[in-house]
Amino acid sequence: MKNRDANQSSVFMSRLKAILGAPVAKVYLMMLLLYVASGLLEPNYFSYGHIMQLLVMASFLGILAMGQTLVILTGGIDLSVSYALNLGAVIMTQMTIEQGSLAAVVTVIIVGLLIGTLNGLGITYLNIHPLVMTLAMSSILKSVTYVYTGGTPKGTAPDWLRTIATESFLGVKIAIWVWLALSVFVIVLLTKTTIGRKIYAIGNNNTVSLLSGIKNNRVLVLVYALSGLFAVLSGLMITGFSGLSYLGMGDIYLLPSIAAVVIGGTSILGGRGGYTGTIAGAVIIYVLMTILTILDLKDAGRQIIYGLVILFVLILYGNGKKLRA
Amino acid sequence: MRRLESLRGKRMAVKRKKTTIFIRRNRDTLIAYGIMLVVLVLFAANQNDFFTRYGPQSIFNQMITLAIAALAQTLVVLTSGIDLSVGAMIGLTNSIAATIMDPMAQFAGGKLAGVLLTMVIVLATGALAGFLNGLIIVFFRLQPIIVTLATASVFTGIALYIRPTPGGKVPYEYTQFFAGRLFGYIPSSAVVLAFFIFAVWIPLRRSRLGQSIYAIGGGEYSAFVTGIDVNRTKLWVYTLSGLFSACAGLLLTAQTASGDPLGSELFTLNSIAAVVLGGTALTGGKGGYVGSVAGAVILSLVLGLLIFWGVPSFYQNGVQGIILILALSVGVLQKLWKKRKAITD
Amino acid sequence: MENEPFLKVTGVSKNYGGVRALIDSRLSCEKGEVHALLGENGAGKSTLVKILCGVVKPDSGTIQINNKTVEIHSPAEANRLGIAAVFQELSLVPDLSVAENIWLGHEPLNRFGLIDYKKMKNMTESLFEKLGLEIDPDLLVRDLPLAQQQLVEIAKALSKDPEIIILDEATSALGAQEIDLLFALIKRLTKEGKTVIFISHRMDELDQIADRATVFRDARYITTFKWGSVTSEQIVNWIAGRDLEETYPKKSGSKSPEIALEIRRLSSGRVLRNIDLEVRKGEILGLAGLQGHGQSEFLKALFGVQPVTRGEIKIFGKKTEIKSPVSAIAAGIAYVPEDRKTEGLLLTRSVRENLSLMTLDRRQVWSLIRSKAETGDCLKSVEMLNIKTPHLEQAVEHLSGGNQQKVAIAKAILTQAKILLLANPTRGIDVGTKTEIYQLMHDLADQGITILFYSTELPELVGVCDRVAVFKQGEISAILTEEEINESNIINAALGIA
Repeated sequence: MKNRDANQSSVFMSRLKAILGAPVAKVYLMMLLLYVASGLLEPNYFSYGHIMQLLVMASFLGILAMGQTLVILTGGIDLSVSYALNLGAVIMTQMTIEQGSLAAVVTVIIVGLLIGTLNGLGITYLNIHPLVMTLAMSSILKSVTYVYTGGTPKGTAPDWLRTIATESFLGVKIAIWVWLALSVFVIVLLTKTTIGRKIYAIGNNNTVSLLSGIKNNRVLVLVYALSGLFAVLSGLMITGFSGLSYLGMGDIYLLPSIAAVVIGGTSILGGRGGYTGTIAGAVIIYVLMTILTILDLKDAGRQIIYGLVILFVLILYGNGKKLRA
Repeated sequence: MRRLESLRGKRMAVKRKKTTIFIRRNRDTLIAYGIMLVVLVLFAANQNDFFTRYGPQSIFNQMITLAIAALAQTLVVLTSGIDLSVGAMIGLTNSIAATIMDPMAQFAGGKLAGVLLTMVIVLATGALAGFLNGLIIVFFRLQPIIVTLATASVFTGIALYIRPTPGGKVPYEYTQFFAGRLFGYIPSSAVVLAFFIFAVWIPLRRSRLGQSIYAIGGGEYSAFVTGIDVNRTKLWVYTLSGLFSACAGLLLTAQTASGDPLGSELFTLNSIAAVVLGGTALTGGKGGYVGSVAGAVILSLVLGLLIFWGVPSFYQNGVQGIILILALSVGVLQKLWKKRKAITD
Repeated sequence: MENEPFLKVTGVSKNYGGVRALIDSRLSCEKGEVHALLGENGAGKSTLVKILCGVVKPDSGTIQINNKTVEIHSPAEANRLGIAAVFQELSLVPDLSVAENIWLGHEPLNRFGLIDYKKMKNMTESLFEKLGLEIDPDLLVRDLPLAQQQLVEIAKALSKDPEIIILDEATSALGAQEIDLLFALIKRLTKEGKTVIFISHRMDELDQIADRATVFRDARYITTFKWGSVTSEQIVNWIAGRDLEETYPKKSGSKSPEIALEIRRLSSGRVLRNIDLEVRKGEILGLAGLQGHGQSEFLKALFGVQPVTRGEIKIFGKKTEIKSPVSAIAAGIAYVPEDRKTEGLLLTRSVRENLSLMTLDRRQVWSLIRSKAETGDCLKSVEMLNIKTPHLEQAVEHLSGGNQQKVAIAKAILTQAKILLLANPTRGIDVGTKTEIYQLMHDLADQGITILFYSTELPELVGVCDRVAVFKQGEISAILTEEEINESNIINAALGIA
């Protein structure tokens, strides 16, 4: 490699090759194919309105999966997102009644960050495995949510939140703009910042990361804090969309948040992948749901297909190393 | 006289050394049993009729399903894998059992024959489900966490297909046998637990397969180079996980006298919690089922205690979560304490 | 001894996705002989051995044992065929006992088909008696010192009663007594008609036991000869493919009087004891001794990875506490770990990411990476160390071992550290790159950078270092000055011979 120019052009070529050949491209292709399939089954789906609705629904999962992507990239997992989502939603609706929606939003954001920070501290300083720590946190949050609402969540979403979640701006649903903005933030974080490099380093090999002078613990706490934040943000959006909050509203999002990340090409072991794929993963999950609805598959069929699709994608990505070379 | 003394001294030294090694190998499990004792004492102190006939039975009944689920999970975790489909397999087998037990009685010409036939079918289903898990993981070389997450969905779907709503019919004799008492005194669950500990776990632990399981958890490549058939061991582990989950499903059927395809979700995460509490690290190679039993007891008893103390159900989850964190912190604090001692030495 | 080869390997080749590890190689060993395998790192010896052990699948070729063609599909099958190996990388399970490890996979069973623990312990004790070992079979492998672990590994191989025993660099941590034990054992085994394949760099060891030797170079079979029938110059010529040149750059000699690093009574538990050391600016200090005697831990302690229980460290006169890699780097110390694949590099990430990993925070604005500055630094490193890569985005795993190591070293150099800690930097690297690295070390030293350099290769220590500190049992047993540095002095100090 002789000089900077030579480096530039060969970098461009290899980057182009990388983009086209990357698993991410495959996911987007799969997403498009599935969408077309859904449209073939139900021609109404080939409409702008349907696409908007699809993307709005996917955005809630997509925002939740942002935090999950970051966490999984570091080699961990966050099982507390469903109840963080729930808690954020109920705080929003209930506090709006008494203290007003601004105070509510601020509180929700602080709570989200706090939940994640506690997760991170338990994982780094108490050395508790992320699976177990976030699981325990999930139980705690479930209780907190129940106690806070006394069993029945009160209140409704303030009008401005409802507008954000349901109205359009420049022909595109505001929810999608929100998702886009947050996506840009996360993708820039992962690809262009030092924090992003540290995240990949920790997930790839946290010994190498440590020996390179990276403060693993700090990065991990930050990542889990962000996961908590994105979880409550997702809760806010869902509350805005449906108008109210209810107990257990996050349950149906937990496993899909993990599935979206994995389908998107991020390795469950961490160190590889990114949010770009997760976006397609979230959309794929919703397109699948719509297909299953058209086919009028009962809950049973949905679960089976859901699981089979994940397995199919995993097998497609391959990646395991043979013991005997 | 001197020779006798030196012999005795030698024997004591050997004993001391053996104890040290034992403690070293089983430290986390011993901690778990310590915690369990504390919880047991609390439980006994608060249930005035503990030592009458009802006490032990309710304890055992409450924890037996989790205890057997924890066996399934222990095996997988020892190989540094994880099985997120345990709950789904329990739900599936539970649903099948509750649905076919009655028809099988007619088919086989008798309640007992019906029950036995059902049990065989259910156990075979569980083993098959586990085998499928193992096959995908081994053959495609995929990560257990995400494979079992996906298969859990598939198994739950099948359960929903077989049993769309909770229900089913279970013969009274069946529930009495497994959830009642034998000879009017010993809780059946206690016998079942004893069976699984002494007739299943201990022989397994002392077999070549058992050693292979620990070796793989300790270092898959090292185990491979040593000549252990890693793939075959893993297949066994996941198949057994399915088989034992089916056992748990059968027990659950006896407890609840019905089948619920969605009611067993908690067993997955609780089985992991029981395993980790009991001293088996998620990284594998260390620990064992004996510890997981303590973990299962702790989790079940704490719930029982909370119910008894009249803690509103709202708080129960939270308290369980906090206790899980606290219990795990004990191990960390112990390590820190050891480190400080080493520095000052 | 019979005259026909007991083990005959012909035409064996192995390709690892473009890298040719073995090309049409061959080997013949007879019963009752000690057959040495010689060659540089990467010459193919280890690959051939791994094929014989069933760990690697050959692309082509035939293997015959006792005139029967065999196919070795797995390590278990290799054991069944009577082949057992001991590698430098231990294959022991740390949380199982010595006895459990030795009999892993072939434990004695009782009449119920379960493991007979008592019999296992007895068998272990009689095996140890036969071998002359005194290790408690109930101890956890994790709690044994490295030398004893290596002995357990050897016992494990012998417990399988093999016909062919392969020892691949299996003596790196063994002291004089243990080596004598091992060699006596080898002599007994060959008398019983067993075949021993012995891979080692150490000519003095081979002088003691080798009957014949085969040389590999650049993945090919070169020649076989009877030990003692050729000169060492000829042997080196076969191994290196050329006459032995002076591969070590000339030392510049002039050293600054300023003391860069002063260490007093440094201890870490039982692993390091009372280390006293003064290193001058621009000096290259070698750390020698048997493997596992504290050299690695000493470097790690200086980098904040090994806890320091006592003692003090002064950097350029200033007392410094090094609690973590972060504080070490801040104090001007950088560390290149021993195992680049698991400790030094993120294999699946790019050259760029790896190079900049240790200095991320120096090229950012509010966490955004200053891409131009990064590219500049990376290109500078690539040029300075002559790193061969098509471009900066290339994944490091696709570089050759030597270039990978260069990336790992460059990463540390970018921190502009005044003190560089190198742990076995030339392990598993071809000769050409080794020379480049030695030259680099000297250039850095001339620029005033102090280098602490741990190595297990004696010639390297002799050729590169200004002084050598020899470790024994966690203490420094001798510090050899420039005039005193030679291989026998180092060995004597390492073994504790006056």
